[in-house]
Amino acid sequence: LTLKSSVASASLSSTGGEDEECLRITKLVEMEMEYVADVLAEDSKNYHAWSHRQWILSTVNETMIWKTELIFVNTLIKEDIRNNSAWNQRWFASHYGKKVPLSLENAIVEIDYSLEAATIDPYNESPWRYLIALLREQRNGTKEDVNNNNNDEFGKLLVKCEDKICALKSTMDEISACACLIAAYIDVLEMKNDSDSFEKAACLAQELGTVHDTIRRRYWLMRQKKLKAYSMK
Amino acid sequence: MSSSIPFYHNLHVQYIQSLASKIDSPTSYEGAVTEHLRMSGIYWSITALSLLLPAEQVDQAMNLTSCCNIENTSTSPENKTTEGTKNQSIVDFVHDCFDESTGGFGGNKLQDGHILYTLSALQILAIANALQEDRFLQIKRKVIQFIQSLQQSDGSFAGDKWGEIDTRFSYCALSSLSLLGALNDDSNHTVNVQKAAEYIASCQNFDGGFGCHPGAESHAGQIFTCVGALSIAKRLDLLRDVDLLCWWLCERQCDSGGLNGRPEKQADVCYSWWILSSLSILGRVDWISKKKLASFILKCQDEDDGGIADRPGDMVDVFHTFFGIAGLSLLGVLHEEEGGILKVLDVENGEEGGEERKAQYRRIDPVYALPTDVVRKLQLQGQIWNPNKDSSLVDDRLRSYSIYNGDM
Repeated sequence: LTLKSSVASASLSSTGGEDEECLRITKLVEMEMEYVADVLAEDSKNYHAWSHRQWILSTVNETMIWKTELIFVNTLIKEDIRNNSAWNQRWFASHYGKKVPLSLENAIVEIDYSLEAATIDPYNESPWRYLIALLREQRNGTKEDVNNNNNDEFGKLLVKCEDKICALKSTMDEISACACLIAAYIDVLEMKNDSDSFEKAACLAQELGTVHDTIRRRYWLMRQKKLKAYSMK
Repeated sequence: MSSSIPFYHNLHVQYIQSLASKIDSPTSYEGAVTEHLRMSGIYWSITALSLLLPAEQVDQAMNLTSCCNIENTSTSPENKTTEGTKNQSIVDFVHDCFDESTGGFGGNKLQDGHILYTLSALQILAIANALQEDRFLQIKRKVIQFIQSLQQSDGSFAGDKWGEIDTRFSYCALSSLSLLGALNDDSNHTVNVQKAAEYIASCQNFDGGFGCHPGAESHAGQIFTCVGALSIAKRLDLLRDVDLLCWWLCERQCDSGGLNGRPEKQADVCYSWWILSSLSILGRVDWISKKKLASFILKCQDEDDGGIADRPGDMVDVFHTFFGIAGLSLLGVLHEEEGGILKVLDVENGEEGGEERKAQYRRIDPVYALPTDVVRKLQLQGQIWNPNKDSSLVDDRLRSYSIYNGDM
């Protein structure tokens, strides 16, 4: 597709042919996206359909198409909050298909979105993974921040997440503890990077390994040991 | 404490051996819908059987290097039909699938060369010890050139001339070249291995996993191909946050003990391979509950006719049979000494016979998905991640690979 070159705005000097081509390609893209949407309506996790959709988005790469994609993804997540393909697409679309970290402002929007989804269904893996990845992305950004301005902002973000997670945890039955909520809580505590938080996280890891997520006990044992070691440094 | 369900050795051997005649029948539905991937089907059956029986028995049972039919196994035009391999050895069949126009191997006779079936063909020839035969040496350079031609400027690989890009093809390319001893062939600049590795690394996602291209959803199968390819390229150092990746992998274990391929999908026996092999390469197999997974795989056996299905109660197929057996091998339960989790049922020879069988089972290599003796014989290169300083903890089958210790 050569949409980029033909999406120069229709100017007085453009030929009729160029404008026609631009309209033709735009129509083509619309039809193709609609086609993929139809396929996903039947099989919302179809790997090849999502793959094709990503190719179209990356090739066209216009601001509006990324915006409309976020709207499309939101619809799918509302239909099935556990659709991991849709969550993956949300990351893809919000990052314009690139590896450039989100601005703090945009990250906050996405973090709020994932916390809201996690609150609706805490046993759903996807929003927790999304949340932690967003936080890590921001944290990696602060490492390069010379003026340390973003460090405070990041710290506030962590506290907000911790508060929300604790609030959610307190509404839940102790017996049917939610492993993925606790796992996310551990990750947030680890990012706080202070001795008390490491200590607390180590305890939670032990809880998971011995009580709530014993099928992965060796993983949690590893986490517990590491966190304990950090807390003692 | 052993599982209550035994491993049905005889049934599985029978199932695999009877496949060829069943599938090659012109009235076979299964044969028809899998015709395009016959090469891979043969690789799955040969390798599965190779884990259970000694090489000579596999050769005889499957007509691997020669066939019992005394008639000429020529590659005359009359033989180039898609009607199966009745009068040929499997190696003959493989050669009949060589596509002169591309230099690759097709999934069946008269089909276009594709990287997927090129790898399967080479894997079969490796097991059959046929990579040094004259007729293969004659086409070897063409095969290398075919693979070379598929690499793109960003390091990725297409599957064939039509240009589909997928990290699976990166794995197929690197594994194929390694089997051909052409991975580090500087003289003819085969492929740019470093660029291939960098492209794969660029496919790592926010959750630690890998997809079919950058940004594509993490999927256990794709993760294997990426981790496997990086192992062959000896660039495991390009992986970011291995703990996160391995956690994602062990999170695939469901309450049933089975593994799924991505969040909220059903457990499937084949992920026993894709996930265990990745964890083996990365030194964290023990993050999976061994007993629960072994028990799940055993439940997927067909206790009447042999073979293994994707999940308990479903119909079996050779794909899941292979990956189920391979999974049991990687778990180690197929090779445990007496009193282990898995009991082998050898109908002919009773309990002792079962233990004897077990002692003879060959091991599967997690990087190349071939019996370890084949990998060692060909001196294939690879790299594994050992998170422990103690190299004695490295699984026996991985000792010939170079070790990467991560941040240590």
